[in-house]
Amino acid sequence: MNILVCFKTVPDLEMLDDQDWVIDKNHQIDTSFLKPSLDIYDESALEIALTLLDASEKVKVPIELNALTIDGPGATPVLKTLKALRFKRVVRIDSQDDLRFKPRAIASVLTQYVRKQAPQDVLLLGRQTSVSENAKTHLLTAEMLGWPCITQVAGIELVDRSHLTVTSQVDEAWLQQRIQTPCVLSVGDAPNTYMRVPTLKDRMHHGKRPVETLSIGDFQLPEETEKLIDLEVTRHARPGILIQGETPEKKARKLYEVYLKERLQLL
Amino acid sequence: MPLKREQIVESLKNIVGENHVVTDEQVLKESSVDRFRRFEAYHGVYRLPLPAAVVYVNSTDDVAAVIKFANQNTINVVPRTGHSATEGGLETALENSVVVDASGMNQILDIDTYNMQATVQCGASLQELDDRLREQGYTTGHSPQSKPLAQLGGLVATRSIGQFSTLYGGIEDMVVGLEAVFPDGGITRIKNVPRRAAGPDIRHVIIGNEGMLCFITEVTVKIFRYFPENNQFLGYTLDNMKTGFEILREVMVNGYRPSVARLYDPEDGSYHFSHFAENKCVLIFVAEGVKPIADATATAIEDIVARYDECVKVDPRLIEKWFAHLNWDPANLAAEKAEIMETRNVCNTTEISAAWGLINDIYEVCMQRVRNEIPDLTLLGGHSSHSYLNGTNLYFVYFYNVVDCKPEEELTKYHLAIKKIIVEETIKAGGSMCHHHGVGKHRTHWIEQEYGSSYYILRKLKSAFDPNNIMNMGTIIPLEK
Amino acid sequence: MIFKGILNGCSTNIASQAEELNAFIGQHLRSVDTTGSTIIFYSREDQKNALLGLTPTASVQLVRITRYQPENILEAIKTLEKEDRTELYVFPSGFEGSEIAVRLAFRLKGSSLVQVKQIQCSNEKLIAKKAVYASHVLASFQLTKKPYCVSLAKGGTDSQPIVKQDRMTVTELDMTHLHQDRFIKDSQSTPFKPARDLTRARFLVIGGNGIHSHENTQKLQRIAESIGADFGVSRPVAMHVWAPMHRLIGVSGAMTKADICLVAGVSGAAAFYAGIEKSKFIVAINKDIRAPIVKSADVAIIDDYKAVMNELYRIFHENKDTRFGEENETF
Repeated sequence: MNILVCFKTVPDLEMLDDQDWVIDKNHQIDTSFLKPSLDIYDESALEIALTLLDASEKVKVPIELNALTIDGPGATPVLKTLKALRFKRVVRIDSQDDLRFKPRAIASVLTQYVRKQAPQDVLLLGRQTSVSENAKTHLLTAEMLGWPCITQVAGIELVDRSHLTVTSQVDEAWLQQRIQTPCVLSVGDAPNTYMRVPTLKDRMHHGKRPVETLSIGDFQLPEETEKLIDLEVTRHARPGILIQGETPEKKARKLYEVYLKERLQLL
Repeated sequence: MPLKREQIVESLKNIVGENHVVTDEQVLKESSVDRFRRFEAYHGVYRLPLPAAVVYVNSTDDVAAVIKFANQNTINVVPRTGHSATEGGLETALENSVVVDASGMNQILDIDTYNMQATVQCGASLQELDDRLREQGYTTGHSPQSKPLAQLGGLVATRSIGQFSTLYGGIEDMVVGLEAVFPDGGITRIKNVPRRAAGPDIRHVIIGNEGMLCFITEVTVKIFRYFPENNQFLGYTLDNMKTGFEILREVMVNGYRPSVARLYDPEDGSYHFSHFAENKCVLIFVAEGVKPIADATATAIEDIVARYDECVKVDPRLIEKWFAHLNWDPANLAAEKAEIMETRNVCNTTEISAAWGLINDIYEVCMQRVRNEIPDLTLLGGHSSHSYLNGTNLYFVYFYNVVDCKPEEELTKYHLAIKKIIVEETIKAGGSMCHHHGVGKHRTHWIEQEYGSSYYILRKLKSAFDPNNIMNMGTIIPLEK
Repeated sequence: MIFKGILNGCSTNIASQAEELNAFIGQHLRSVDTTGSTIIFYSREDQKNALLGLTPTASVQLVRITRYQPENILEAIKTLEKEDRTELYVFPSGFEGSEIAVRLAFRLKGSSLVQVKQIQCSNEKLIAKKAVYASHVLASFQLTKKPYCVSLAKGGTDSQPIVKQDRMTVTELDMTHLHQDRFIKDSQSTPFKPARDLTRARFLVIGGNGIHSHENTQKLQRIAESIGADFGVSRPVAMHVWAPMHRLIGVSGAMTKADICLVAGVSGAAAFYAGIEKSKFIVAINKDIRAPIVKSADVAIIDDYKAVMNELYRIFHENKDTRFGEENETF
């Protein structure tokens, strides 16, 4: 079973101070000086894929894990880590274009890659990235490939060469579905899915193999059906009054007497 | 006849009042350790004897009364303020110890901007003191990574050092005077003078004693004028650690004092700087102070580095941003615990120092041995962060997966095994095994080798000031078998 | 503008979906020339009557299905769109609606945008706004191709209770025969243990990563409930499984608008804060004065949350404001 995890590295936006949130005339916010890391949902997707690789020996289903990102060279350290974690093909499609709000283009590139270069049985993606929050790439990719799509995935189990049991969150319940591949699976909030860390020995054995690099120019990019017009920073200032007191108990009492008592009576 | 636990607790309650003596089991467990044993502690494993009680003291007189009582009854006392120690210094090595916590003595007593000093109680928060000073245009100049948590008593007791030490010095350069309680209950005060030659500098008996000679109750530190608007950040990538050490040396021996002068190796560097330094060493400088000095320092450093072709300059904002988020804060630590529990991947460190002529060789031999001899490593690297006229430190950083190993076996299998290699190679080469974290309880095994013949002085200090062996036993000097 | 609202009648929160859609229509789609209708999917015969009371438009299509399965729903909507005239599809907030919106737009060769907070529409173009950059930034997009398919942002619009329509045009259809879900061999659903709807909580206590453990989370929950508050958590707490996912507050969980919101041990990342920003009064309890939540709260206590919550518990007990729990719930 060929599983392709598509991921994105993003800057840690919580490291930006108030004065760093500045939008330039190209609708860009400068985050170049922040260290990129895996987007949280993509990290879960990668770890879930690795648990499938762990299971493949027990269930006797051969699995090939592949990973792909569309990004500049800054993604290379993560790609090397994935190599060290036994991802077989690790691909970077080099792009310096602003693809933040172009999910159609990204979905199309993924579709062309899967159709023409590296057939897969399962596509695994995180639900959305913290920067663009499109939450569309997995859906458009499924539509373009003509594959079914399950969202809000929290866990996957291997059944056999062409079947998986997928656990996903629907509004009021956990849904478990045994499905036949191919399928696009989009990972949401999945508990206990911090990605494992490769050992130095793994890095030395596997991490040094080259990462495949392609160019975005090798792909056809469709027009987007939504156009970005404007970005505006949202600010949430409230008074932030610090309650003083010698002990936490005194502060708590002040909180109650001065701020909570009357408000509670109105409830 | 040693007192029973209940008698100890009862007596303590009579001395400081019932409300200040805590015997809650979870508190006792957490008070038997510090960050050294955090992996097993996170798993709820506490192997050391639980203290009889944790006593929260509010005054020097409290401290004196408690210590006097302990001295009369041969009870082991562990002095504590911020609880951020990393080397086991706060571990309760003996049965029925008493942890004396002075974090409630947190007052900033005086800020004197004419005589350039600030006086605080031992439980005063460094972050709070520095924030207060910065509001007025001053700083302590002391910024260890534990700054948001650490308190002045512990910072002095461990001979701590901060990120800006290359300009401001270590804590030993910052202490003006202090007050401490000795085991006999005596309160001694060393007055605040700029310098004197009135016998040996007795402050140095207290600074760095790690609680095994006395209990520090009040500290006066120098304060410095603070000009953050003049800060200049410089960063470079380069290929070789050896070149990096040479550049650091050039900067130091020519008399320049950047507040920060750091050299990261590719592994440690990749952890922090992978976005601009893949597989490269990283050099970082910060020049600080009044404008003419900050500018001249930055210009001079740029000139020095420019002589080395392999150095490539990076965007200063990268360095500035990285620095702004370096310190531990409660959110980081909460995240660390959860991540360790889920990934079973732990980070620890060992810091050493040595002369310029020795440091690169020590770096190379330690890296090679640790890489070959220790299993399950996921990262092994190091950086130099405190340079001097005649040498520098090395901070070895290592992450490992805890594999097939109970929580209580983690230290032996990994951390202590790594520490042993680094300590032994460093001492063999002629360096020091402890640059700034303190000996704690886990490098005591090598303390005689560290001191050589001068161990005599250390031993005498202990026997003179703590004849009944009640002060933080097992720290610096190992317990007698 | 001809629009259609799509409601999932199989969901237990159909009423809030309907009110949300109703509010959205009221705010954005009454001032221009609009004709609207609603499609309500349902799976049980006994639901029908109740659903008729939940339509925000006079014209409604009640469509029977086996279960709310995306591939079948898409096929159903496409089939119903025979005359190809709908210009705008509006889906309620929640993942299910967002998913269908995007895929439907693709199939009908239109545009889509999910988690939309506001729209401005004229006959020729539609501009929609949504949160990006982890809720730090508001982005405006022009949707260029009809039909426009949008899903609403959680907590984005206020709800507007439905007033039963006087004259309704109701069409009933049966699409239980649709079988686009052949790739699913079998399925099983385990409902969450029902929690009170946090989006309606008026007094809320929220625990964050600074609580440190499963045990502390449970303790905080017990204290919260004993002082009459609902209990929620930030993402790290749910991800560590210290609390179940349905207590999650924030953009991927519940978007709340409490009168009083007490937040303990939460740093206050924007994606979390979006889940409480509509609160009337926010109290932050955090050891770190630098935590972003402190500047975004009305008042803050910089101290250990355990001691503060213990004292609040005692105060509530003194004043007999405790709703339930006689035993000592303190830390």
